[in-house]
Amino acid sequence: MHPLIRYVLQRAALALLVVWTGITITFVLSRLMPFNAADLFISRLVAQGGTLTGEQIEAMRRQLLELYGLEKSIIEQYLIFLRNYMVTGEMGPSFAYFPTSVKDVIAKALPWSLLLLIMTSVVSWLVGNGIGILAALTKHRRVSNVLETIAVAFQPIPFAVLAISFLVFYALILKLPIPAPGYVTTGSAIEMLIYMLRRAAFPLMVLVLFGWFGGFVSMKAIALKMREEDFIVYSFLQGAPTNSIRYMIFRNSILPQFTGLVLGLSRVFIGSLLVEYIFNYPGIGYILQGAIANADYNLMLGVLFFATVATAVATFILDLVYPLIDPRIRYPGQG
Amino acid sequence: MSLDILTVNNLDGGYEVFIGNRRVFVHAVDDVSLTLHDNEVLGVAGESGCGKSTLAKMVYGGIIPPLVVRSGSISLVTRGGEVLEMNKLDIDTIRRKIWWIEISYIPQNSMNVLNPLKRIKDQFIGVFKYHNIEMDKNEIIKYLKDTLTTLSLPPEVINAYPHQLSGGMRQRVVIALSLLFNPRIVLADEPTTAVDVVTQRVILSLLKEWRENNKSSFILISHDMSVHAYMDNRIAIMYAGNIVELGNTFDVFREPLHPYTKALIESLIRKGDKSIRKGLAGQPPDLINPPPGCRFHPRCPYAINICRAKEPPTTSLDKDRYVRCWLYANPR
Repeated sequence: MHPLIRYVLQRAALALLVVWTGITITFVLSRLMPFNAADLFISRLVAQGGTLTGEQIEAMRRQLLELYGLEKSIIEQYLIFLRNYMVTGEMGPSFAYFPTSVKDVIAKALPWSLLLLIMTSVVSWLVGNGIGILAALTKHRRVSNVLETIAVAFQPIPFAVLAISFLVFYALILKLPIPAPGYVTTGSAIEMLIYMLRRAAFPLMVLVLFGWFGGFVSMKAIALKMREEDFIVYSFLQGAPTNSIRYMIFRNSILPQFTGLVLGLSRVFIGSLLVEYIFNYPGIGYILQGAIANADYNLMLGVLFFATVATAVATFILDLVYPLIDPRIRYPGQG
Repeated sequence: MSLDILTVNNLDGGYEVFIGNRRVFVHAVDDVSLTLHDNEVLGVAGESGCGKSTLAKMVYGGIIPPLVVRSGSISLVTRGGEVLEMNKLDIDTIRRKIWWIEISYIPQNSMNVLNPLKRIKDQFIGVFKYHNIEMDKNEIIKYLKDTLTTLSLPPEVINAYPHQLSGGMRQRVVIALSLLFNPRIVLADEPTTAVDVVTQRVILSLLKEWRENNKSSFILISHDMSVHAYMDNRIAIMYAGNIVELGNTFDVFREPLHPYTKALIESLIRKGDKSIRKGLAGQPPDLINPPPGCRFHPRCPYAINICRAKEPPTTSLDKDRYVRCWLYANPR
C-alpha cells in the first residue's frame, strides 16, 4: 500500500477511535447522573399538586422508564446506543421534548450556533493575527505597545464580565439601540438566512471585540521573535527589499496559528450557553444546558456527539493539511 | 603594485545596550584602519569577543541596532572603477548596488541562515529577484546545478529544503549563495566553524580555488590560526577592539612583533616541539570599561609606564607591516 494512503487510513482510524472513546465517556457520564428523566417528571408532577398514590407513582415510573428505554441494564443500553449511532444513525427521542427526535431538536438549534460561532472564530482569528503581524512590523512602536497592553489586560477577564459590562456601557451609558430581533417563522431560505445574519450581527460584534486578544498576543510574540531569526537577518544582508522581508516574516509566523483556528472552529458545535444567554440568541448551548438539567440523556449524547466528531475531524484535517503548508512536516514515505 | 579596493579609516563603533536603566557602550571596534588589496586574502584573527565579527558587520554596512558606528570612513572601489564612500550612501543604495554584487557576506552561523520554508533553488532565485536581475528560470537552475557540482554537492540538492541537508551541505549552499554574482570582495565570518576539520579543509580548498579563479579578495575572519595559515596573504591580529599587528602572514607567523601576537604564536603546536605550550595569564578586558592606555597592558609581560597612560600609536615598520605597541614606537 502506498505509505500516504496508509497514513491517511491510520489517521482516520485514530479519529474514529477518538469519537468512540468520546461518546463512550459521555454515555458513562450521563448514566452516572444522580437522577433520571422519569424521576424528574414525576417529582414535577407531584410538586404541581397531583395526588397520586405510591403504587400509581411506581407504575408510572416504570412506564416512563420503559418509554425512554431506561429499564434495561446499562450494558444493554450501551449496546443499543452504539448500534443506533454507528449503524442506523438513529439518535432516539428527546426526553424533555418527547416524542420529538433528538435529530430534529438539534437541527433546529445547531445552524444558529454554527453561523455565529464560525463567523466569530474566523473573524477574530483574522483580526487578531492581522493586527498582531502589523504591530510586530510597524515602526510606530507606541501604538503597538498600547494595543498589547489592552490585549494583555483584557485577555484574562472572563467573557461574561466583559460582555455584560459592554452591554451596560453600550445600552445604558451610550444609549445606543440594540438591533431588536423580532420573529420570522416562515419565509424562503434566503430570507431566513438574512434574518439569522441580522440577529447574529450584534453578538458577533461583541465576540470579535473581545475575541482577538489571544491571536494578537501570540502572533505579535511569534513575529517579533521571527524578526530576529538568523535567516531573516541573512535575507536583509543579501539585499532583500523590506517588503520581501515582511512577507517572509508573515509566512513563517502564521504557520503555528492555523492550529488555533481549526481547533477553535471545532468548538463551535458545542455552542456557547453564555453568549446565547447574554444576547438572547437561540443556539445549541441552550439545548445542551436544558438537556443536562432535565436528565435528557439522549439529547445530551446527541449534542456532545457532534462536538466530539467535530474535534476529531478538525484534528484529522490538521494532520493532513500541515505537510502541505509546512515543508518541515512530511507525510511518511515522502522524501 | 596592487590596488587597494577597500580602505577603512579610523572605524570606531560598538553596541549601545541597556543594563537595567543604565545605558552602556560596548566599545567593540576602536579606531581600526586597514586596506584590502586586489586579489588577496586578508585574515582577521583574534580571540572570541575581540570585535572581529563586529568589524565585519561594520565594514559590510549591515548596521542593525544596537550596533552603532561612531566615526570612520569606508571607501570602496567598484568593479567599474568608481570610488564609493560606503558610509555616505543610504541603505537602499547599498542594498541594491553593493551588497552581494560588490561585497558579499558569509555569515558566522551559516548552517542556520536558510529559510526553512523555501527550497534551495527558490532561495537562489530570491537573491536574483532582490537585485532585480532578470534571468530565465531554467537558466538559473542549470547554472545552479553547475555551481553546486563545483562545490561537490549533488545537483538534487536544489529541490531540497534546508532541513533535509546536513550541516556541511548547508554551509556549502550558503557559500554558493554568497559567491553567486562573483563579488569582488567576500567577507567570510568564520565560514567553517561547527564542522569537523576534514569538512573544513574541503570547504576552505573550494573557497581558495574559487577565489584564485575569480581574482576576488577575501576578508577572512577566524579565531583559528591554522585556517589563517592555510588561507591568508596578510593577517591582522585583533585584541580587544584594536588591530594590534598587521603583516604578511608568513612574516607574522615567523617573527611576531606585538607581545600579544608573540604569545599567540607561542601557544601554537609546532611539529617536533615537545615543550609545554605557554598560555597568557589573565582575561581579555571588559569592552564596556576598557583599561586606559594600551588595552593589552594588564596582561603584557613587557608593559612599561607609558603603556598604562597613553594609547600606543600605530607604527609602520615596513610596507604592509605595522604594529600598535609602545615598544616599537620611538618618539624621536
